[in-house]
Amino acid sequence: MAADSKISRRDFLRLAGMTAASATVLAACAPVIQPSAVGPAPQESPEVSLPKAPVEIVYAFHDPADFRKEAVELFSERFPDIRITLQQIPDEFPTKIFTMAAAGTLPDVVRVWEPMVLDFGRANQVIDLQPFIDAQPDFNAEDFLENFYDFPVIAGKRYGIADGWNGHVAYYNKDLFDQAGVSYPSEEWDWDDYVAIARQISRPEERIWGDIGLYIGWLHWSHKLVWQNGGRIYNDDYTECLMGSPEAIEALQYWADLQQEAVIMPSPAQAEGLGNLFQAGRAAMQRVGTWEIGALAESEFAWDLLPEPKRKERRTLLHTAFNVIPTTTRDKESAWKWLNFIVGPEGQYLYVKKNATPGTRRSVNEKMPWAREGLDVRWEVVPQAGEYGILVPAPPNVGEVEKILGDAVQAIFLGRAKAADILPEAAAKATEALRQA
Amino acid sequence: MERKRFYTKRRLRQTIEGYLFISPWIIGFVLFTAGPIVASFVLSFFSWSLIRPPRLVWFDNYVVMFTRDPLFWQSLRVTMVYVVVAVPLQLLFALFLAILLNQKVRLIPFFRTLFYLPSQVSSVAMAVIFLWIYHPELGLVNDLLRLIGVQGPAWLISPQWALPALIGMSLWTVGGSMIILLAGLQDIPQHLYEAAALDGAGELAKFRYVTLPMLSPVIFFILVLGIIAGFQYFAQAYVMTRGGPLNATLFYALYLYLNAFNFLKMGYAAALAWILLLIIMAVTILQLRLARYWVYYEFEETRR
Repeated sequence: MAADSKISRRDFLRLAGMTAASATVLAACAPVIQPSAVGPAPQESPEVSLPKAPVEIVYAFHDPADFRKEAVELFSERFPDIRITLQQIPDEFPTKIFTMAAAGTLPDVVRVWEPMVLDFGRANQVIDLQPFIDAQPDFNAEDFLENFYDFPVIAGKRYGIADGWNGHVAYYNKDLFDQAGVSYPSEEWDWDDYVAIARQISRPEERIWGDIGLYIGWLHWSHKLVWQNGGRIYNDDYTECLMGSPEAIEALQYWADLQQEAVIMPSPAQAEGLGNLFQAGRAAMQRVGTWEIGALAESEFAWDLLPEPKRKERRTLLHTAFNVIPTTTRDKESAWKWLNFIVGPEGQYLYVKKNATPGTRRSVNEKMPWAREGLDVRWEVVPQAGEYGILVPAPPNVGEVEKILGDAVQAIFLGRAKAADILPEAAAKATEALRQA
Repeated sequence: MERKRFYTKRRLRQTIEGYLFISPWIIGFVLFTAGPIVASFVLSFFSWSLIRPPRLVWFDNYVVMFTRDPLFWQSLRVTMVYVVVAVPLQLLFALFLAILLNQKVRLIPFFRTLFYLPSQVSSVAMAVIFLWIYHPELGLVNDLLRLIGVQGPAWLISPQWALPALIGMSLWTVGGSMIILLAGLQDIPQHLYEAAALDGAGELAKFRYVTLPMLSPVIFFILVLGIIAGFQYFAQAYVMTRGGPLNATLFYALYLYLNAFNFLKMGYAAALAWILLLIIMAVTILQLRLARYWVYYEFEETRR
């Protein structure tokens, strides 16, 4: 080809088209690099002193971003070289997080739920935080409630640290108790006391019930009934499901019979779609998480809290979430600084105060961030649950295992099967699913 | 010879340019449609939980599906019942509405709009509305039943009634089919009815021997699309029942979703997707084969 040959218009267009097409293909095939994955700014040359760009750390979670804003502001003052970007994922949180993990695009720090933290740990998707903790002289591990601190540990590796939590407690409507002339219950009550009180207050013909009813589609809710009756859902290393035990069978049948009787609580048909009967002042008692406190703070009736009634043991259900650092996070040091701050005394308090929940640190709970002013409520009941409660279990193959158990519990609560007939078989199937993982 | 070579070169250049101009679409198709299709087929031979490396299991997913998974059969049963019952019901209801809206009465454009409107409501919004319509104590359906002395069931929490409730709800969205049938009705030449009248045909005979045959291609079209949509039924069950109670509304597509994103069994979910594709293909081919016995195409008369 002659050196002085000109490029024709057609050739130019052809070249441009090929370049554009190639660029599109390359862009589509290129690995996704998040802004967060950018590490510290390159080393500056000695001659020119340019301002160092702050490192960006993306923090993903499912609850409202507002709960985090004060913590971000304070952290930014302390660590001006790290910029925190909040990424709230309100819907389909596990689905999106697992998909991000598959794509290798997890945010730098993620707040994951109980089964997720162990799943990620087992699959080496998140790093062991213990070396960071060991290198942090002011990290006071003894300040944490053991229930939460010891949960995300597999073979000595600590995969996450929890911040706020909710525990299930019993709520009772003092006004309905007074109207029925029933004295308030004591902390030492058991299931039979609970049912006896509910019978005294219930007037189904007037749509007033002693209890709001069972949460039929909520498997974890039923776990606490088994625990309170001395049973367990799984063995310690999650290789066997224990829902076929006499304790589990007795516990679930006890409450299913009451549900079917529909005297102290509405039948599933009566309760469907009516919202929370306790909040509406139509049920005298409910046993559910401490997140209800916010909704009840503005209620027109007087209410109080108690630990859930026991059968053989004082147990309840606890929920929390764990802050983890994925293995794909580029700047793990900066990520740890943020994680350490939000689980630390200051950062954790800012979060739980805004969220009105207890924290996982004893020092944070001394300030009672969940308590509402002007209400005559036994607030000390809330943190006590963190001592005797059990966290939502996190078995491997959790989705399939919980589908098997959930179907069985639903059949029992709907009166379609007897616990003794269905639970042993369901437990065996769940065990098989556990061992497939 | 020189001229022929020039022609070939020019054709080649034009061909390349043509492909370059449509390359954005081709790239999009390869990356976002063909690629995932091939990937899902390959994936169906793997066990993959999203957070662990995939493991080749050959045909295990398919073997487990057919031999050891009762929920696969349950989801297939629920979906088949829906397709067999809901699709013909939707067609009959749409045809009934189309005939009504084909009458010459005042305000007919208003009525057509009115009956078409529900099909424009998003499936999730519709599901929320029907949660209340089916409410056992406060719902409209049970209120109407009470007027005739019948105590209605707890529709969505009853294993017997949840699926019929979803089938009933599906009749609310026949607006699209109704419009197509209405267009088909208006396309039937008037002289055919006049000829039938001269032969002494009454209204029923006209419907049987003129309207139905002339409308059969439209009915066939709606039936094919309706059956495919029936096999892919998902959103309402996902929002309203999540497959419950006791898997009574565990539709195939919902079970596929649960396997992928709740059980994290992506390989198994991919295998389910391919079996669904085969089922839909088989049913559609069967419909095409059977069509020759009942679908009447006007131009075929002249071709014969």
